[in-house]
Amino acid sequence: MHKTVEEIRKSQGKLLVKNVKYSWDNIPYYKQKMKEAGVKPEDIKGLEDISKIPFLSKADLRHHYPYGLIATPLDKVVRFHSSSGTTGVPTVVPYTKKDIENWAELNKRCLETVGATNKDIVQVSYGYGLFTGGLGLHYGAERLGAAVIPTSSGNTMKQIKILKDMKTTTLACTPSYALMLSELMKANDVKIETLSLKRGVFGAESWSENMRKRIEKGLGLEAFDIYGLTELCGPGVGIECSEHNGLHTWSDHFIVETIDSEGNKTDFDGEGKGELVFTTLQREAMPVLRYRTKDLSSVTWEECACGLPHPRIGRITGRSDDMLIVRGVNVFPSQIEEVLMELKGVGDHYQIIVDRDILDCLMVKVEVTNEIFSDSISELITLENEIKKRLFEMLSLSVEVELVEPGQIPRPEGKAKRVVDLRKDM
Amino acid sequence: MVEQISVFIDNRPGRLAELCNIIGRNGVDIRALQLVEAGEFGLVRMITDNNEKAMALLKNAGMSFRKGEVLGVLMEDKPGSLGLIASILSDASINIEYAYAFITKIEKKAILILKVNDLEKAIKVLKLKGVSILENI
Repeated sequence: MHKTVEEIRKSQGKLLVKNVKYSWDNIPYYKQKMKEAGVKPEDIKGLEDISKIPFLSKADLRHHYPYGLIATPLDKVVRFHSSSGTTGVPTVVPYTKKDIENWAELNKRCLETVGATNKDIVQVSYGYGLFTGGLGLHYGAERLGAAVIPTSSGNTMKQIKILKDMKTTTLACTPSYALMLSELMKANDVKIETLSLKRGVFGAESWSENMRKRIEKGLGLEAFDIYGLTELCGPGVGIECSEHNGLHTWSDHFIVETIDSEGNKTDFDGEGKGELVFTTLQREAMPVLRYRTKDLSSVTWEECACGLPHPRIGRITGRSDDMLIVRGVNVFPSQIEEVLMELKGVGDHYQIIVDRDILDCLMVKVEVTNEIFSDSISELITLENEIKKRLFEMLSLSVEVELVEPGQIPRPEGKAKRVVDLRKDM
Repeated sequence: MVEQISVFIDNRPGRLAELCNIIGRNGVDIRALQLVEAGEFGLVRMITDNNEKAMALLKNAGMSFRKGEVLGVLMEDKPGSLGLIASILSDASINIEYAYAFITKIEKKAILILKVNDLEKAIKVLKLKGVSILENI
């Protein structure tokens, strides 16, 4: 292993030791979890001991909603964000002033990595609010000294006008929104030559190489993948460099590991494949130790041609659970089932289909059983609308509902395939 | 009163043919039929010469259906007769939810199938005006 890598990993170990002690002292639940696992802070002497620390899951965070895992007194907290997850209880993440500064710093580094400077004009078309995307990139760009245009998402025609008139050089948004901008430009005959875009930073959804090509061609820019999780801070955890061969994760702020489905560590000397597990190293308000992301990828410390000494994760290839990310919203099939089951005779045979035209679309097919069948068209349409309404209330996402004949949903080996994700090949 | 079977079908090519074949190939005659569409799905309402057998066939094919009662009226096949029946019902504040009509083998007669919100009252007022109500078609 490269000498500097060894040094970096050694200093990661030091930060880890400190962070474990800090968590033990300040978060009763972490202390309890470690005790149950038979680990004390003094057992963690460096990076090599990390696998002794128990994992933290999304369920742990949700279980302690909203303030249960805060390590600092509440008066040190200056901000809350919340995950886009809609599984009943949201995941609330607190930030101290220092956490906000660090987060801004990470996003600044991400922007620098993709070539942005203080001369750039950065249009942030991520949503602003509880969602971390908007404010994360906003603070990063400001820290860089760039000029920020905080458009937030939506109002696409106006966004195109701003791109053009204000000569935006750097766009930050979800990849599907980038695609939507390009499609709308095409439809309105706005030529890419009239824009000044150089680069785009796109994240919060997984996207393919084909989609990258479409976005790059449609907007005339170089597209970079950015990685982040609300639980870790939001965007800024990892960024692609101009090599476009994995995303660098900031080694002074995060330790990234991989595990298999049983929870066994699969990375050795920092190289491995599996579910990504993150440990924060500098967070004050809510440090996380070995947080299971459920994102499947790989990690490598192999030297990158760009020269950045930070390990890279591969692009996310899937999920270890059945969670779907639709237009940036986390959707669990079980939530949809729950809604359907509330309506008599509805939930027995259904299928969830996710596709991507420009934006992701979620469709639920429901078989019309004898029990719910009515001779009245208006009653059937009422039922369809009722399902739509309830799904919207649960997911905050508009869902298409289609009533189909019994037997229309395929049942391989007698069991229906509940989820079909058609976005994979895009 | 006439028995009618309503069947739920997907709105796509071939579905009506498949449905009719299930019934027709087993010797059940469809006497009257109405097809309605609502976006991606549709509804077939039909009256057959052997509803019990038709329902057994549909059940066997795994389809969703429902048996219901509608009003069958024999009327003159001439201008104005449908309007007359509709007026009798509207005068009695009875609402027609849907209707379909067809001519018959009986000369100068047509059959009107009606779904109304108050079946008994409809029969009463129509009979009072001398309209003949059918038990089967």
